[in-house]
Amino acid sequence: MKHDPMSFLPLTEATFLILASLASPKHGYAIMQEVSALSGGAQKLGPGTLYGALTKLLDQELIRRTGESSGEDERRKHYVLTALGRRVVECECARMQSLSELGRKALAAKGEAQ
Amino acid sequence: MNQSGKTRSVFRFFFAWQDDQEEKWLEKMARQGWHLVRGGIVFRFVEGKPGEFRYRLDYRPGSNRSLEEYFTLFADSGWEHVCSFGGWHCFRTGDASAPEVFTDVDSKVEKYRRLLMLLLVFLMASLVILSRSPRSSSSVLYEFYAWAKVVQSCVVVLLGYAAVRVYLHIRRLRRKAAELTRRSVEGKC
Repeated sequence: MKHDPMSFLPLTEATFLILASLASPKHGYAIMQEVSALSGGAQKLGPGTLYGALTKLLDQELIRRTGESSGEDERRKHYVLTALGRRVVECECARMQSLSELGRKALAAKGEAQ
Repeated sequence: MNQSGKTRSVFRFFFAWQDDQEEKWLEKMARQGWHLVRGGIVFRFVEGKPGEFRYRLDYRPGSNRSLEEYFTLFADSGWEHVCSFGGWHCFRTGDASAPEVFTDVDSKVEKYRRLLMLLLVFLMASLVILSRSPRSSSSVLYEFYAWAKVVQSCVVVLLGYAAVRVYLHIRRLRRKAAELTRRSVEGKC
């Protein structure tokens, strides 16, 4: 099933942050800055990594080109999440949250047994 | 780069699976004041002020026109496009704050996978050509075919060797990635 959001999970850290940054339309370099800001500077995104990710995400229809471009330069295309892309980010957030709760609960239970 | 206009050409075999070494070589040349202008089998340099540069090579087949956005993204993040040859693109930066070209192992692995796919296609094509036996009664043509087979066999061996080297490189990268993940988790907990 191509359009099942679950089939895209788990996402790599870079992919997750790129998708999250595209909740609002952005061009390539703005994505790099946003990802750096979102992660408090911890996650740097190189141009090679970003370009590869954008090509793949366009192909998977998780993002789309908006058609607009930065006034000064029309080579800077803007991207934004598709409805499917948004669902994928939501599902990944839910997955990580339930996993982390599960993990902590399991560790706490083990701690009591000792 | 304060070019003096003096140029120099260096013949060098470019081994795709050790492109990190090629990058180091280009950086060494830049420190000696030789800055890359054109690459391929012959690398052309122009003399200028010696300097600290980072050189990076990416493999991405496709016309340079279709890659306009790609080059813009590099330029925006501080990387100058130096030249392209046979699907390879060479970038350099003298800016220490410019991010690395590849910031995760997955995208680095992808680069070698693109290369591996191409090598495998060529390898298959060469094997198909090699396996076809020509029907000819002429002895001159027969001799020509015999030599052609020798040359083709060499190509097959070379392609096969390159494919194995690229594959091993991918495996090494994956192993290194697992190690890095382990270390980053250790740091957080």
